[in-house]
Amino acid sequence: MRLKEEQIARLAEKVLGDLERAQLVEQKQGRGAVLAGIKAAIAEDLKLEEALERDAEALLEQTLKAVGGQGIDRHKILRMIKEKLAKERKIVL
Amino acid sequence: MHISEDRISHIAHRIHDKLWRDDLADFPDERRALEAIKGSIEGFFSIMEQVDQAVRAKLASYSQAKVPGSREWEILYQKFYAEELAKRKW
Repeated sequence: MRLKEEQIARLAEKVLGDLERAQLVEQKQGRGAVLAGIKAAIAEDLKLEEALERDAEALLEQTLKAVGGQGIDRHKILRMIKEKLAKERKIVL
Repeated sequence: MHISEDRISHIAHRIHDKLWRDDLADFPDERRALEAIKGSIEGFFSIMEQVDQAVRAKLASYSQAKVPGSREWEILYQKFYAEELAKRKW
C-alpha cells in the first residue's frame, strides 16, 4: 500500500473528524497535536512496509541468482519472502 | 488500492496506541473508538477505490485514449483524480 503525504493527511483528517463527530475522543494537547500523531502513526507503519518490500526484492534477487532463476514463479517467491519477513518483523500486510 | 481487513485493523491499533501512548488523547469508550477508526480507514479506502475506478473509466472512454502507464496517461490520471476528489468535496 502506498500513500502520498496528502493522502495520509486526508486519511488522518477523516479518522479524527469521525472520532470527533461520534464524541469518542478527548484531545489532551489540542487538535493539531492529535492530527500530527495520527499522521505519524500511519507514516511510521507505511515506512516499515516499504522497508520490508525493499528487503524482500533484494532477497528475491539473491535467491534467483543462487538458483539460476529458471522456471521460477517470481511473484510466488516474492509473496513467500514478504510473508516470512512480515512474520519475523511482526508487520501485518 | 486493495487493503485487507487485517491491515485495516493493524493500522487502527497503531493510531489508537500512538495517541494513547504519547498522551495525546483519551478514549471514553475504547472499543467503540477503535471500531470508529477502523471504519474511517475502511471508508477512506473505499472512496479512493471508487475515485480510481471512476478516473480509469473516464480515461478509457476519452476520445484520444492514452496508453495506460504512459506519461500522458499519468498526467491525465492525476488531473482527473483531483477533479473527481473535488467533485466529492474531498
